[in-house]
Amino acid sequence: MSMKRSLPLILLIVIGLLISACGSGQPMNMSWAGLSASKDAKVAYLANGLHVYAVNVADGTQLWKYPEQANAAAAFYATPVLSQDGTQLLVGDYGNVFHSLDPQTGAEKWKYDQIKGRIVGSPLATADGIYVPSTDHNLYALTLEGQFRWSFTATHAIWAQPVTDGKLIYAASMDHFIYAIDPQNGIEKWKLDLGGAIYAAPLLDNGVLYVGTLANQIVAVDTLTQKILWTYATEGGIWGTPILKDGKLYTGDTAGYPYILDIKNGTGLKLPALKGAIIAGPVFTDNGFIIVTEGGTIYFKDLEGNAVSEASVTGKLYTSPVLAGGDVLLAENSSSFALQLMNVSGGQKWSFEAK
Amino acid sequence: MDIWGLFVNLLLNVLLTIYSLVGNFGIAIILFTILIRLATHPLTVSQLKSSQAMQGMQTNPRWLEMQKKYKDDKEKLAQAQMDLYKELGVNPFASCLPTLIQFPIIIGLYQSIIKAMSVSPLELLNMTRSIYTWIPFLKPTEIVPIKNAFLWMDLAQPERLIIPGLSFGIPVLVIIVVITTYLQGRLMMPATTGSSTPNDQSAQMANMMNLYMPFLMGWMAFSLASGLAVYFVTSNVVGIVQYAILGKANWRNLIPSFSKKPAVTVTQSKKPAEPAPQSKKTADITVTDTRKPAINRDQKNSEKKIISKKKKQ
Repeated sequence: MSMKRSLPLILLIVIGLLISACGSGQPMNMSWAGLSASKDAKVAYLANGLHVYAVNVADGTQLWKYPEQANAAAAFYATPVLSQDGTQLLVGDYGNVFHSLDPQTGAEKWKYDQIKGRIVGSPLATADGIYVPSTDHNLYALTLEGQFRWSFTATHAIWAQPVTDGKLIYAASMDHFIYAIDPQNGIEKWKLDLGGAIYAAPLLDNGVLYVGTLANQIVAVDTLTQKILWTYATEGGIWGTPILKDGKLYTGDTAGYPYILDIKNGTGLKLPALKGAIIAGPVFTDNGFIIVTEGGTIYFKDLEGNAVSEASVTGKLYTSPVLAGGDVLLAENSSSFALQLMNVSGGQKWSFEAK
Repeated sequence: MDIWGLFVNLLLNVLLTIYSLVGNFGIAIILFTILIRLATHPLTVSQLKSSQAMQGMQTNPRWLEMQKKYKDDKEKLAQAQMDLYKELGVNPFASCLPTLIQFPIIIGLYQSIIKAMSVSPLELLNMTRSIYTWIPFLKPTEIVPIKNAFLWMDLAQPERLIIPGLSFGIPVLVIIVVITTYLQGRLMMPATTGSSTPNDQSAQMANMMNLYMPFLMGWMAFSLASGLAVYFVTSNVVGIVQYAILGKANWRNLIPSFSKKPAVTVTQSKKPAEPAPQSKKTADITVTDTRKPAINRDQKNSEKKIISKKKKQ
């Protein structure tokens, strides 16, 4: 083929690649990392782009990564979850595939590839099965061996990790509803409109669901009466799962305000705004809590919300920190390194670069 | 934020405003595409006129003559061509400029659709921050999530029509994208291109583009979110309608029998503006002109005369 004849083809391919790179086919930096740790807090699991990494918490060295060869269509951002018996590491990807890995070696045990949408949220793993939320509007129930049991369809994507009280599965959807589903057959028992899209996993405690919505509110739902107990209006959207201790609910919003709410009636304390939006959920320490901002600042506070200390990193912080022993694991959205271990004084112990 | 980001956000907010009014993202994409095509209509007309003037040049006897004369000296040929452009008042880049202006608009349109559909948390977060909250009915808390369902499609996913009994989905919209892209390309192509000389570079380029473009668009529609395929189809259909309304659509390129109609006979001679001979004996070369009369008018405008040329000269 002559150069003259090839020119239009070359131009079109270049344009096509440029346009494709702008679109949904591009896996890199599409979202923020998912981070969890083993029960003994000795291994950190990081889902960050093209791989899931297992990192030794003691020294920040890589134990394994999955898959060995990157697949551009399968990016990992959902937080990996260990099965109840600890023998499986469960994680979904943006290529619509759900994986079960050996937590020790990273070897694939099985995968389920019949899902029609991206897996943004973490699965719920119980003693009886696995429940996988998907952007294809479905919640998939699988056996512990990866066999399909049933699926439940919402009217929009399910990004949030489901929760359970042992009797029902509670799945929060972007369609503003929370659904109570029978785990035996996937039949909807009830649903409730919470008035806003739900990204973060609800917190379930003593029969009450505490749900943050993107419509700037925290809602408490009694699962017994299926009624809203109270609603608290926040300044910004809630993207992180709240935490609860001693009758107090801790959360933060995109306007940068941390909140400490009384779970009895939803009255609360709005703390002074921090430097930047709060996207990640907070995490408790021994005598307080940690809350991070998008701008990369880590705030250590006591349980009354008083500032104890603060530290900062160069990257952005969207992922909830994870406690590992007395230290804090932080997943950064940064080009230089993805994971670091910090002590509660803000000193960095090591950093791990995801490659 | 950079200028490009501001531009994409502007388009995004127009798209979301339409969405908040109609409540259906598929219809919003269609209306948005029509709106953008209408806004760039003057550019389309300008491009059309310029490209027709250029096409007129291709059949100009002086042009053809210099092609022969300087066939071994490209520098002189280029100089002679530029001189002729100047003499006839044709700007060879005038047809490129509207295309160049439209290109960033199309890319911006594409990016705004992608941004609106935000299929990951980070994309959704960035999208909600891009919304002009001063527009009364654009409330991020109410708009999110965008309802991506349209007809049988999830606009955030590649489109496949699932038919009961079939184990695979049929990419219906991809087929429509390929067909409409091909139709648009054929209708926009001058009728003469098909019968132009093998050395006519522009005709070769046009033919190649016409061949590759439907496959490229089809591939993108197949692999990317179906919201973009809706945009491609709408854009193609509006383009065809635009050309048809302007009277520039060459239907003969689609239906060959159109060319069997009594052809406009153009005989070429060196003498200026003489009436065309009616007899075959006096017309040594008879060019069957399958173009629309409008093209002939443009040719007349650029040269102001019809020249006949004897074959054995």
